[in-house]
Amino acid sequence: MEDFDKYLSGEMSDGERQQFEQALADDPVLQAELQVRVGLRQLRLEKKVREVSTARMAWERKRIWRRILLGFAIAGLFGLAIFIWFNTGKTPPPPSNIQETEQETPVGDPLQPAEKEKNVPVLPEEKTRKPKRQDIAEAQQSNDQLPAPQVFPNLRGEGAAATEIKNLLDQIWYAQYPPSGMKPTGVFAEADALLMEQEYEKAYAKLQRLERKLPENDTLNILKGYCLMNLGEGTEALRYFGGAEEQPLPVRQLLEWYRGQCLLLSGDKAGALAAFKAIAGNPGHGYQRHSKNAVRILE
Amino acid sequence: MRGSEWFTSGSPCKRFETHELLFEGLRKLDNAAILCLQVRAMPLVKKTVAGYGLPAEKADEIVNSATLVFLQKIESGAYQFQGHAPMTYFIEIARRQALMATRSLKKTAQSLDDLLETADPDYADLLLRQDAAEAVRILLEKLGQPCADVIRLHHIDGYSDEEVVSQGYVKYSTPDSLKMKRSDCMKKLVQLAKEWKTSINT
Repeated sequence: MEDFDKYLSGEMSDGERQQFEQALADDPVLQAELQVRVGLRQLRLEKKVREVSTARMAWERKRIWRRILLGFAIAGLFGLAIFIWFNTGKTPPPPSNIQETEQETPVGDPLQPAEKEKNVPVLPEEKTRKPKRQDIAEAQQSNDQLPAPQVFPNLRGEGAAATEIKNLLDQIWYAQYPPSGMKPTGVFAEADALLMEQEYEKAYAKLQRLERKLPENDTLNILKGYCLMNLGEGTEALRYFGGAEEQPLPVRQLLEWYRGQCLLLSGDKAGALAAFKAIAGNPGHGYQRHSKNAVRILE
Repeated sequence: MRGSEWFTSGSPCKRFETHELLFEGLRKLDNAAILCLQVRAMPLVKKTVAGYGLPAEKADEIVNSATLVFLQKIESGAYQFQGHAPMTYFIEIARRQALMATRSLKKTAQSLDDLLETADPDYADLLLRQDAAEAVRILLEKLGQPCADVIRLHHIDGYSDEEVVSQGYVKYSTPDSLKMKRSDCMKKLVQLAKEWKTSINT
């Protein structure tokens, strides 16, 4: 048996091998045994190869699944990255923009319903609007007279000029919140709540943070302009109001009124007067009466 | 296998980073080494198979028969490690196996002499060995139990006598008694083989 193993493993010397093959040639039993041992070795190798072949198939299946799962994982991460990108870098559309405001009263000045009905060109979406209770109440209360001007909250600077401007502003100031035609919600909800409480600085800080996340946005511009106007920063406020040109009529009229106030705020009394005169000369303007009053005071 | 292992167990060749380690694994008929060899060789074998115009399914068959030839060469000492990559030798065997497969598929008007001249000696040797294996398979069936099991467990499954006894695969209680029984069974098997050969020759 050991001879067979040595012979089949190639471990015999040349002499041993020749001697063994000589014996083999003369002995049919040895020949038979050699055949049996060769057959058994082959069966063992075949069994090994079958086992490994099965293992290889399993390994390849596993590798395919791993690749599929890896592909899904990469796709998932990619999707997540895109999701994060669109939610931080880019921006969702502002949840409340001016066109979609809840408070859809046509506007301008709620104090002039009759005049408005007669003269203001009605935009298609305005036809379905219903006047809000507050507007109706205000309209009934002061059908023919202006509301008392609000007290202008802030003005930087000292001296006679600043005092004069402040006195003028106190007589004409009108900046109700929320502005007619706007009801900021969604991402602007927190700033909206602060503005309701006249916390202009905090609201402005909040809007600054939003500005980093949001793209150019009219609601944001108007709200920032509104904050700055109430903080006495007329020139800066004008810049923001100037960036919100494409607006529905009521909002456009509101901004024209604000621009007049901002010009006065920035010390440009002549500019403010011209702006108010332009509004006052427009019978369909929602702030015509406020402007007439302002023109009278400024002149 | 734990879930984490399922994801991390990549290459089956981790244990065989050097040519020598792979050769040693193959010499010991370590399944992991054989798997490593086959997995590494498979892409090249697939290319070869495609290059010879054989169907893609043939790649498995060729890898398996090349493995048989290679392991036999290692076992018989015909291939010895000399610092070269065993993979290179294996690929060459596989290429020749693929070539023989191509020839066996071709129906040419070549004479038998021409075919023998171009025949691969490894391929011819493999066929002889497969014939011997088939004969032994039949003879083991004729031999009956328990001899067939006693021989199969040691010579084909590769169990040691101690393992066979301790696992209770056969009724023999000591390795020595098992060894004696196997010796008797081998004699019977050789006798059967001798009779079989005589019957074929006559």
